[in-house]
Amino acid sequence: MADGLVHFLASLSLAEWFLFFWPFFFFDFVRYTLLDLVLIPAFLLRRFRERGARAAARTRLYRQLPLVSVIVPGKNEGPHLEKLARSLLEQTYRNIELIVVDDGSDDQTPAIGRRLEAQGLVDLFIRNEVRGGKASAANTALRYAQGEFVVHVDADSHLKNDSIEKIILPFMMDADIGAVGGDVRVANSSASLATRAQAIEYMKSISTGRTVSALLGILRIVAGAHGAFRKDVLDRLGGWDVGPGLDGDLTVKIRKLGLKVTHEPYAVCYTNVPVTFRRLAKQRFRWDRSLIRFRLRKHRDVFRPDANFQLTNFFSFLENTFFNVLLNIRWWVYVTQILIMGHDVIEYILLTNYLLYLVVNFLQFGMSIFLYGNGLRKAELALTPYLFLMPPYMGIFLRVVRTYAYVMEALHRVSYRDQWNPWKVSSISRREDDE
Amino acid sequence: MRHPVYLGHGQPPAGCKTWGQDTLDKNDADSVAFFLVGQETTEVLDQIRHIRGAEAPAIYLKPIVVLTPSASGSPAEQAADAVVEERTPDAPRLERMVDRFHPINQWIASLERNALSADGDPAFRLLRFLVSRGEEVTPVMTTASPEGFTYPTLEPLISQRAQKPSLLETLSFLENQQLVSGRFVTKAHFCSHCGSAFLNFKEVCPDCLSEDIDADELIHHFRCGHVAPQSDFATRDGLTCPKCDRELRHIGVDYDKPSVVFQCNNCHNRFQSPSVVSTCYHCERTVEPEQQTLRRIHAWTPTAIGNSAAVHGMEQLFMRVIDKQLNLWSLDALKQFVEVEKARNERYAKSHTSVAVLQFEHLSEMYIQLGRRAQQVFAELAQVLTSVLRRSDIIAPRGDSTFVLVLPETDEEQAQRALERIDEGISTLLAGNLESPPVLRSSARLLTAELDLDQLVETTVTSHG
Ligand SMILES: [Zn+2]
Ligand SMILES: [Zn+2]
Ligand SMILES: [Zn+2]
Repeated sequence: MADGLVHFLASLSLAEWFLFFWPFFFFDFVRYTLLDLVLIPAFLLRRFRERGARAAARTRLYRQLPLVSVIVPGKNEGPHLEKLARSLLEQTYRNIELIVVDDGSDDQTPAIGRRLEAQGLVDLFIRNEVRGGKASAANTALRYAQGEFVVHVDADSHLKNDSIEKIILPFMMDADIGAVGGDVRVANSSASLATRAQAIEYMKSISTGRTVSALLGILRIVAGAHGAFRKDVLDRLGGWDVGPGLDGDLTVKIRKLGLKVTHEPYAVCYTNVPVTFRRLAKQRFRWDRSLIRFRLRKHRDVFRPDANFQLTNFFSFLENTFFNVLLNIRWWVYVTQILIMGHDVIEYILLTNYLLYLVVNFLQFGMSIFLYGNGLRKAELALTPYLFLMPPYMGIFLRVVRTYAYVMEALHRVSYRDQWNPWKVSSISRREDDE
Repeated sequence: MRHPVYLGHGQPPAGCKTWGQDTLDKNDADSVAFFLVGQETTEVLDQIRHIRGAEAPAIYLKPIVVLTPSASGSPAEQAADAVVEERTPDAPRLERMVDRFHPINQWIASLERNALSADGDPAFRLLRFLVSRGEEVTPVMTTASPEGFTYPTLEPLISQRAQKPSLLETLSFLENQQLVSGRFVTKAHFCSHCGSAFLNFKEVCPDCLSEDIDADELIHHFRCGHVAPQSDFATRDGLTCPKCDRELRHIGVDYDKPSVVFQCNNCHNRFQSPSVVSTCYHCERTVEPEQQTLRRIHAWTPTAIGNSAAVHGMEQLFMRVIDKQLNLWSLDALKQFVEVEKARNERYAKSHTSVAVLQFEHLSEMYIQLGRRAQQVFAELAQVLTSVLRRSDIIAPRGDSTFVLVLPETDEEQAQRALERIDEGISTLLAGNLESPPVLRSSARLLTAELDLDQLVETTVTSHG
């Protein structure tokens, strides 16, 4: 096998190399690896140069002490609340209010929330008897938030002790910043093979991926699990809109206001991810299918040159749409091409792809570790042996789920019946779109 | 033959006798079929109270009829047994009323002669009244009494008395004694400090306790996901979403109201669960509602025990408890036994038998003071007797509070010592529990041929009185 592989590779001309492995060389390697290798050191260098400005901003922050409203909307999240509330007590930054909105939970959440409110661990607990969906719960919290900044956090996560300070700092450094995405890392990485794979994926796609996107000015998402916003900006936009992918949607609207969106890799939030591949597939299906709707239907105006048109917005969309939708189609094109042209050497092609992507994974993982610096934990280092799993995980598992989601979305517009939203809310927005 | 008695000014209706109010106690109470009161509304209630406040059961238990040109449901009319909407009812009508009240008068007449003397205890008077009427009394809401509820026919029985205990307290005392039983009607809060039923319940800010708080109903606009207090949506024409500018028309279709949020105008705190406090109108104390007294308000009827206690007096209960523990003999049986003992002692000159008499005075007061603990304390009293007496001793009740004891093989000195131990035991038991413990009277004699038991009892009972 090994001999055969060596023989096969040695026999390839340069043109054949590109013929058989064009997706790797033209897309994945360039977009995700080469850029990382260049831009992560660039980011760290800029960070180093800005250290004086950063220290000054920090001094400003602690002198002005703006109130930060941490909002936690959710349903049946009661059991997680106390841990999250206590992680806020341990923050280096102290001027925080915690607002929890219980969106029609049918478990012990109301009782837990009231208790935490009475204990002073939660500043305001709002119980919505009637479930209204994620956007309305976040908007309820927003209406009662009094802070200058709003940090949206998922209940099923907890914050590192300097996370609030770190996520607010960019606002103090640049008045044009409207939103800051916080880093999301996996809390339960050692739970299963699935969580380990996700932990590696989060490191490269969120920690390094979003840092690079932000540096390029094309960051397209501020995670709902951990994102900070200027309150006045949220008020101007009327908060969150109904529908799946509402985090991405809000980011687009902020960009349309001419404000910057950035990522702060050192504002860390640890979140729990699905433990089984089955549940992971369901989660990703929900996430992925929102893409077509939000990129291509709701915000199609970004493709049209008009008063609102901005080049970076345009590229952000192009990049996103291209790499997600088109590259997904490209993947199937590639699979078809290999089956037709290379069916006699298919095992060598697969093996070569595996090795190429494995190398890339090691490089990307190395970049993440480089980026983390002394914020690196043992748990992250312990993931190294599992890098061997990543090519099939990213290349096959996630691709299949994504393709399925896109097809379903395109054909049936299933996202309008998003399970997260009560039927009444979904049906209204479906009608709206049909008008 | 009983006849109506008119208490009032002017000419009595035909067939009525007229009594002066002051002469209530001096006339022949047995001849009264019912009292007629009337005309002047303001005075009528006073007259009813006067009758119901009389000492003699034959007066205060008597039916009362109010004469009025037009019934208005006044407190006096509610307090009476009947209302006649006429100034001068004719004789046949009065006769029909005499017949109607016959069962009540019959019951009053059936009370034993000695039981017809003065009734001092308000609880007992209430019980007797309830039993004599044989009907359930139902509570009526009132602002005239600080208790908020009254039983109009019972109220005049209590109003003449000192303020404590109140009508409601007296009734619940009777319930504790199992003399009356209640049927649940409603519940009410009372000031835990002064007992007033007039409480003002208010929602307050949980932080600063200010009463100046506003409730905002939240509105959720489905289409755009906007959530804000209703005031944010309110326009002159109705509701318009401040986020998307659309009109909100149908609740449940366009929007809903997921919850309510309060805002404190004093400290600007926002919250969903306001604290609740209650302030007493009477003593002005403010406390949390859980600290006020929550009472069940009942309609009352006498129980079987109550019916019997109303006829025989409340001391009956003491006898029942004693009987259970001591195996009482009847007085007649005891007397026969005494004769046997006399003969036996005569024959065997060496044998001594003693007789003793024990009397508890103020037993009924003790009963009132003890309230619900009475049964238990009585049981302990009986325990004292059993611990001192031997199995061969014989005990029989005489009346409600006197006991006659026969102690075989006991000389007078030993009998005296036994009585002292009983006295001591009972004093220890009651000293801590009661403001005025019953006075225990006792005497013991050696049983001789000449001893007259009845006379011994008589001298013991009256010797101090
Ligand atoms: Zn709206
Ligand atoms: Zn207040
Ligand atoms: Zn009071």
